[in-house]
Amino acid sequence: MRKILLASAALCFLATAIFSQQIYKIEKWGKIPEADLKTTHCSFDSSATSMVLQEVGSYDLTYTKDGWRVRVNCRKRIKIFDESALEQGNLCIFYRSDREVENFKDLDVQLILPSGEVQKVKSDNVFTEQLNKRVAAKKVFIPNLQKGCIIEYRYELESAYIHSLYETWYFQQETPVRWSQVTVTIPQYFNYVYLMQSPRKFDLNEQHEESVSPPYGASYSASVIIYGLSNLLAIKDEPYITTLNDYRAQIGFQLSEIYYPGSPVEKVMTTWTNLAEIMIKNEDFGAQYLKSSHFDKIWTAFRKVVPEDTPKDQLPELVLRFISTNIKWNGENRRYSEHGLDAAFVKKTGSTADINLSVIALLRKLGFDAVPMLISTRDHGAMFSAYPFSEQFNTVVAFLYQGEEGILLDATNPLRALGKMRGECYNGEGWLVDEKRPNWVQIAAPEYSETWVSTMKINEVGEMSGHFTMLLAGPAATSWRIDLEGTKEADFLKRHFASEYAERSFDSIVVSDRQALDKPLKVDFYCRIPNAATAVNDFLYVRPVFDFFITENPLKSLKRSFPVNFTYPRKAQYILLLQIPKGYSVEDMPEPIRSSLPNNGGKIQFSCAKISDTEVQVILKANLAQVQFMPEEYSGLRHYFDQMADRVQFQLALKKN
Amino acid sequence: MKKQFHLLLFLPALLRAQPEYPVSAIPSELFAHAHIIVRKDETTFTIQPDGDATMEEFYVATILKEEGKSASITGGQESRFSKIKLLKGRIFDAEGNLVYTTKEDDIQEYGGAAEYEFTDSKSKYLRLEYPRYPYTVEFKKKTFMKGFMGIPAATIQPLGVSVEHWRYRIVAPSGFKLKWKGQNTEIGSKSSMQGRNTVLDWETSNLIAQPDEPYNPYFRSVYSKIDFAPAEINFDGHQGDFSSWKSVGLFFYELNNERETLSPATIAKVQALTEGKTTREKIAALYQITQDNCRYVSIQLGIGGWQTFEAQFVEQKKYGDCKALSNYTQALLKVAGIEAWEASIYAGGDEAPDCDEAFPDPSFNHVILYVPGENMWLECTSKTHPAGYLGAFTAGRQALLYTPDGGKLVKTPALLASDNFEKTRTNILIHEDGSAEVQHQARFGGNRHESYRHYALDATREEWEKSFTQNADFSIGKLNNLKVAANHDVAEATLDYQVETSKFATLSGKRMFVPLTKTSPIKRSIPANEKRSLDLKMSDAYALRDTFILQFPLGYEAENVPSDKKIESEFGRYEMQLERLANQVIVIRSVEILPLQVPAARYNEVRQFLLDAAKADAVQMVLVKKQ
Repeated sequence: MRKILLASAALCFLATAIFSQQIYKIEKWGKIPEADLKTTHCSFDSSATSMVLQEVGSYDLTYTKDGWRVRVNCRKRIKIFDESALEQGNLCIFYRSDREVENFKDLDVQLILPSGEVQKVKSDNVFTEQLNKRVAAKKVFIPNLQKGCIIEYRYELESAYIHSLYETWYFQQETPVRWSQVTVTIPQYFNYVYLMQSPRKFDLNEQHEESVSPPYGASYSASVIIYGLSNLLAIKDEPYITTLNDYRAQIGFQLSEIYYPGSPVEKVMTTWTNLAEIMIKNEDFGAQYLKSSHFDKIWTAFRKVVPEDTPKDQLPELVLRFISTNIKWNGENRRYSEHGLDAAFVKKTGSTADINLSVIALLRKLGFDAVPMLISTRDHGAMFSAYPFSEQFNTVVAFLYQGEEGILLDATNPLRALGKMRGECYNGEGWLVDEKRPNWVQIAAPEYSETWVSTMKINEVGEMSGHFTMLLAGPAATSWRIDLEGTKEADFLKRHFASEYAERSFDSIVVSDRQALDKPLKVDFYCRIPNAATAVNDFLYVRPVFDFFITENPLKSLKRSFPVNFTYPRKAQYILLLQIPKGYSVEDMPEPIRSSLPNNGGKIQFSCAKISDTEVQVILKANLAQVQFMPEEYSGLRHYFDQMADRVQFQLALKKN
Repeated sequence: MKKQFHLLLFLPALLRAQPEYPVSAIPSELFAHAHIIVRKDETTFTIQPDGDATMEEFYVATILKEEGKSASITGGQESRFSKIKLLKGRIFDAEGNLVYTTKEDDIQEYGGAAEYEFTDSKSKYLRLEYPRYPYTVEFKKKTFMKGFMGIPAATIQPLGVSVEHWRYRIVAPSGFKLKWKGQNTEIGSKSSMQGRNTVLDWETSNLIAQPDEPYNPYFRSVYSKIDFAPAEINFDGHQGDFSSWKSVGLFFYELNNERETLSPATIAKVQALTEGKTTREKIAALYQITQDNCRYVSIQLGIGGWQTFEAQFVEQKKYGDCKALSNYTQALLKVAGIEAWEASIYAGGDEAPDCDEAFPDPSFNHVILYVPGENMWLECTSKTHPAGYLGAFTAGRQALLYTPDGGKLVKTPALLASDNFEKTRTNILIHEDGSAEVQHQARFGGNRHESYRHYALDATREEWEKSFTQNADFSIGKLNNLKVAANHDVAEATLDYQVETSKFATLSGKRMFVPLTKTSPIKRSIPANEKRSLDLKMSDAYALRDTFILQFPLGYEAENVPSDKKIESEFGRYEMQLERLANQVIVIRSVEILPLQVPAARYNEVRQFLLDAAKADAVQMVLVKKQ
């Protein structure tokens, strides 16, 4: 059996979150040790208000009358320490509601009172909720729940999801877990790849062979494998992360081979080339952009607006514009086109698959070498290139072989430039679906860059006025273009800057290159800020940095369990030439600062200098080239932002001569 | 004749080619302030003789920009009592060309509720999107309602929406009794007969959009709409006389009465717990039984939306919704000989729509309990409130009491500025490098104390620390002490912390700039608006009294200490007094922000007051290093 470690970079964070190992003896349904009835807190997290005493699952791949199915059994026991955790008594168990796909068979819930008395939860507390056409949930409201109680429940279902052996098993949860274990039973005909993420060696890891005699068909032997982990701390969300699932202790499965007796080995998961071939043959994927009949309408409409004699180098841009202005993104990430490309075009709306496969279809029809690139978005989690299976991805963009690096196209918004994707797609890498050149491509997120250049003067009562030029590049430009859409420029600026100086007024606003998406966006304006400085006696105290990408430290937590992961590297520059009033001179100025994070991860440069008797120049530059910071780098990063916030707040003292 | 027949056959095709609803056909004056232009909004509400009802809607709207995308979705709820019989849509481009007609499988369904909720209803909806603005959507919808629970309010014009043509018709068996009332509209109805039915018909056109502005009066009160109050309803086999608030209250009283039976064990427990206590103590003790034992779970099935579960249901299950928990508490009080009444209320937000004495239109979403003998209100879904405290969720608005004599409209006590207080004392020791040690003690009341109560009683230590650091007004370097506590009997909480911060004062050469109120600044502001069109309403009032003791490092002297400041206005008051000692400054700040409702014309006066207060609060002290 092959095993791989998933997202190994994440391991070191978990190490701190988990305590000593111990093997745990699983308690039978309804049998509660006296100590568990009495315990009033979690031994490894005294602040916990509830804990999972044990969670035991089994995924049993079995031959049934409907064919191969995964028989899922799950049993969980939760202790309530405090009244504030009573909402743990509202259970919600999701499953796929199509009976062909998943058959929810049995649910048994009981409550164990602090006295040890066991109360069955009757069916009038159990409800079935249909969330949408595909997903339902069993909802249980456990009656008579009080502090000190133990909730125990078990359910059984049968799933046709044999490729992923039902679902990933998460050992770690939002409450502390004393013991979690999963047993998988895999018949000799199947081979699975294991995707594991564990902070340390499993506390329990056993395997044995078993002979199975199913009610249908011949008996066979099966491997039974058990994994268990103890004393797992609760996992909690933090700002600036990809997804919590990237950090949870877990084990997932992917079917790799099938050996039916008397048939040759069926390689379900073999090579990336093989996966590319399968996807390209898929009617909802490759066929969509390869067979003209799937995008006839799109092509005909495109030809009407883009004549045949259009210079070839303009075509990728035109294709991107055409698709993004003709199919509105419905906000959904998909790998496959649900109703076909032409159907999305007719309906005027579609998923990422509908939109970006359409881009590929047109580009290929025009003679370009374009292929799909599959991606797992940031909130969907890390990708792992060791094993070829498509379920790890959740979305698709277009990739055009051109130049050394190729060009990415993501037509989900008409204001996005060629070569740029939505922020959530920048998750480190992507995989090209190309049977001849299947390839993992490293993708660096573009730099989010803002520059302010300003010439201002200040008068004796503390009013500042002058000219500002902002230059926004990369995702900063895209984000401004999207915000400016359908709004008056003056209204937008007022809103954008309102938080800092409420009385600021704007004039002579010129926004350049709003339509030239490949260029930075330039915003010129004249502004007047009453009361920008405090005038007291003979002094004028001025805070000359008005706009910067931060005004306070964005990292407020004192400690951090997971890495900080920003979407984009950042660059911000602020250059001001300030004219001081006649008859005043600079009394006091701050010292220049140069500071950087280790390994050139980030830099701050600040200076304030007298250019002449009447002019002061202020320069504040910051960049953050590194996007991921490990927990041990956290305090350094916080200090970096503290310093920056301090420079944004700095003041000049001017004095009347 | 024959020729004409042929022509007719072709006509639909010809008509299709004709543009419908081109944007160019919209009168130009309708564009100002609008993000949606309703081209046609026609509804017919039909009440059948057997009491069931149908609603047919036809809606065409041009969406001008992203902010108007709410018009791209239409749908409704399906339950045992209501079915969506028809839901169809079409999309037209700016020129009015038909670009898409929906299919059955474009209809989406959603049935999810929060984890503590279950309802037997689900929503069905259509979303019509188009990649370019402006575009036009057309919806047709037909809903069938089993029984008759009233007629939903008919919105004529929300904010930011212009209306070309609007029509609403009610078809009812003649003799059907119905009151109606227009709000922010002078619209009148026409009445006619159609067979055995009476038809009421309202129609209006070319209404220019009103801009959508922040800090509005309650949103329902700025829309133009028509409310309906039928004299009778019929829901799940229950006939109700809805002709007056009194009869509405009686209907609910009877529907929920005699559901207060408790087990002998609970009765004995109540008796033991209340013996020898004053009435108020008894109420507090019994209220706490509900709080300690029950959690909020909402199960809404059929008439369950209107009728409470039996008290014994809550007794056994230890959970219930607002009705069930109120009913259970009412039952406990009854055992102790204390009469209490349930009351319906519109909870959430800052306020609720006013109820008109003469127009019984019950649109509530929550139930609370009232003890008339002690003039005391109980929020039975809260596990932590002190007895008698309603909180910002339901304070200061009308409620309909269900009494044995029928319904009575009353107002819950408002939270005044003096209720929502903050009293703090902060010692700040500033070091030469600009870092500081901050020691802070605070006492909060009213709506200002609610989140602290939550963190003191209903959250883990970890959640509390996280919330504290995330919401701090300055960057905390080290947390030496952090305590929060809630008062059991009154709506108050205390906070106590001691922290170190690396950047408190800003250094500039030999000067040090020291902010005075950095640990709790005043931040309220409203955006500039020279042409405000809606009245301004801000109901959150509060009073602050703070002492900041700022101690600066040796070797520094004050170059500038701000002078005392006092701003007084009818909207509130800001006062700052400073006392300068050897190497420290004591700042005493006292702020009162009153609840506001002022006409649009005075918007900028309020803004100026808030700006002045914020400016006064942002002053700083300048220290210079002694030579």
